[in-house]
Amino acid sequence: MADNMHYDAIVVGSGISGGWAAKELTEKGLKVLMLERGRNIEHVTDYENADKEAWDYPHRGRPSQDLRLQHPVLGRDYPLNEQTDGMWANEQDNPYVEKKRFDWFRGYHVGGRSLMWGRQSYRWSDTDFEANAREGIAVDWPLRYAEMAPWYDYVEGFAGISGFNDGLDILPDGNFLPPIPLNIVEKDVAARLQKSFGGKRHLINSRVANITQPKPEQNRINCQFRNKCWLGCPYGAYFSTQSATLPVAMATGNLTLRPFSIVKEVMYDKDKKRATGVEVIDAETNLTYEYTADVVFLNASTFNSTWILMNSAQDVWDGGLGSSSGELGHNVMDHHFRVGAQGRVDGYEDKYYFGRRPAGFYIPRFRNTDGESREYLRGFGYQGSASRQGWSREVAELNIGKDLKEALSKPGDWTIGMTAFGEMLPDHANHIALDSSQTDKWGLPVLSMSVELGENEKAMRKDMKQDAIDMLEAAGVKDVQGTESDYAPGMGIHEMGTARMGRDPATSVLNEFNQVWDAPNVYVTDGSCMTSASCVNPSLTYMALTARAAEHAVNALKAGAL
Amino acid sequence: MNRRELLQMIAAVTGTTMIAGSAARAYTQIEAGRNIFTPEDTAFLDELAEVILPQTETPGAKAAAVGSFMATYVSDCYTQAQQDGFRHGMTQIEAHAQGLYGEGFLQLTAAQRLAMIEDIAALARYDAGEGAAHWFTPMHQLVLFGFFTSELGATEVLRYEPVPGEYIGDLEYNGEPAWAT
Repeated sequence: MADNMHYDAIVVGSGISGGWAAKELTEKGLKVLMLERGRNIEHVTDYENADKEAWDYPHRGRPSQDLRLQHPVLGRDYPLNEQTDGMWANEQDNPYVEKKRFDWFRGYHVGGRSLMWGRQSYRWSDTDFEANAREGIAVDWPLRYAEMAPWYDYVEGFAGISGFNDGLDILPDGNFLPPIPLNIVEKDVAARLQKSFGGKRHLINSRVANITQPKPEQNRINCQFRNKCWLGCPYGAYFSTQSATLPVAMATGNLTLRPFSIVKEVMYDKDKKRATGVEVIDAETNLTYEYTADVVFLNASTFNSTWILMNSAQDVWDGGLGSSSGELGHNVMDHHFRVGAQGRVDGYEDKYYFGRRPAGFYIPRFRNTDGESREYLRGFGYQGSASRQGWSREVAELNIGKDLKEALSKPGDWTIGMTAFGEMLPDHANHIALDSSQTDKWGLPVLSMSVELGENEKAMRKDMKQDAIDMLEAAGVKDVQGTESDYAPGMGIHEMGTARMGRDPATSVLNEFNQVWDAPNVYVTDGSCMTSASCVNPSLTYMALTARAAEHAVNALKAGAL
Repeated sequence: MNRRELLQMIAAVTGTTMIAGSAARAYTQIEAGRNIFTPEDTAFLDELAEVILPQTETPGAKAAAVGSFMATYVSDCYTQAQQDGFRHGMTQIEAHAQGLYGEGFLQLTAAQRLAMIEDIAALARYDAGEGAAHWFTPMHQLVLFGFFTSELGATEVLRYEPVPGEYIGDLEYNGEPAWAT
């Protein structure tokens, strides 16, 4: 049914990039409709578990068998727990096909995964933006760091990123709030690494989207060090759609937010070569609505934005809108991880800490830089922390009685551990596709996943483990053990690609401003747009790309170019 | 990597320990929300837990209602096979009590209970050293998990600050309780 509602812009999706699109477009005066396929979650009032303690949960946070049966995919890794139950997509209503195993952890509600994200926020460098061109991999990024730097400044300032300006080329400095501190052991390990590796390997403070000073203009209080971010923060201390972008967009009076709105397709006028709006299925009533707009931003999350494109303009292109290059749905990437090292730190028995950090340390990429050439391309960084062991340290032991109780009531040895996050190369063979063999609850075709690690990643994983072992041993850590668990694509929850940016419509889906080559009034600024993956967490780059694209869209609208 | 190494790695990296129920990959439908234990079973589990983590100058496992937690957790979170293993353990403890003392576990004195469970724990430790699973191990782990994540365990035995307000990474330590996680 026609709704007869026209907007200046439609934003599909309300996660990190959708929230930014809505904020930027409404602040610039556009009337915006934001569509979200799932339910609404109100800031603070709907964070129902935010003040619960472990003992308030029937199973102290662990998933029941019932919960596991509801979430067979989510249960493959840590996100399945009682605390965040209800924050992940319903797997029965929203199936997908795993031609190869792919762990797809989705948040279908207002705010999307901005509510549950890891908040690590790092800039890309030109080492990242130039990599494809330098190595002849995939296609070149249509932009460079100099173009992105002011946008990183802008989004960091608004979102509130705490960190330290370490002065490293590989990990550019930023517009930071004071960092969350390293503890005494981490600081000493950092100093030993500097010494052992000739100043080439740096253990630095995590840079995270947790504010360390209040932002009264956004009604946000600084981090209280509860480390319960994923439950929704009652202080608004970490960046999310709800805490930061949505209130600003709402305050303009220009935003309409419509939850339970599944975008089925972008409506396309093949004569004008422009999108005219979107068709929506109401997830609760199954009724269909059409909304028209001058510009459409797809921020439905990597894969879902591409799903919408594939499902659109099929009368013009078999593969859907944006498929003319043959690259739509291809070049899926994630960050491969779950490999690293850990060990015990002697001494420091007279040292402890106060508070629970939502952060730790970061070791930026050091491989294949400064002219080094390993047997693989690209590199990896590490996230980790040091702490004193708690009661669980002797769970594998079998002492009993009051001695056990006394021992476990005191902190144990210091330990340190870190996990590598490795860059995955874009590979045309790694792809998603529309699959009509299954349909979702609304009768829509689903996605099938065909993604696997390549030889480059497998070779890199050896260094990811051995370098971690070597660094800890060089820092004097005892009983160092390499750690490695199964990794399947998707587990990084950093899925990227499928609608890459590029310089040439013959080999890419989006241009340098995230416009679909075949429909310039459609912008895709979520992880779908990524041309390569870097090894750093991607969300900050989505924010910067989105703000940049929004400015372009508004200027183009004013110029009559869309 | 053996199980013990795996547990230690996970504890080091995540600050928590995997216990039965968390690692299960083979799912069988169990009846949701059904407590498979009787009140007598719960009392038995309370007493067992109290042997492992007794009342001292601070509350013990029984005061923290660990038996009742274990009953809920095993009923809802364990697979059928894990439930069978847990039940087997309860039967074994009762059989040990009858064999050693001619009485049920609940009828034993505190000293008898302690001696008996110490022996079982030693056997389980030996098995673990050989890389073999022992029914007592997950039971013991569940007692610790249930106790230190209980309100009494976290706030009266460990240190719990609901809103720390800051992070200080370099404090002198003088024997205070460990932070509850």
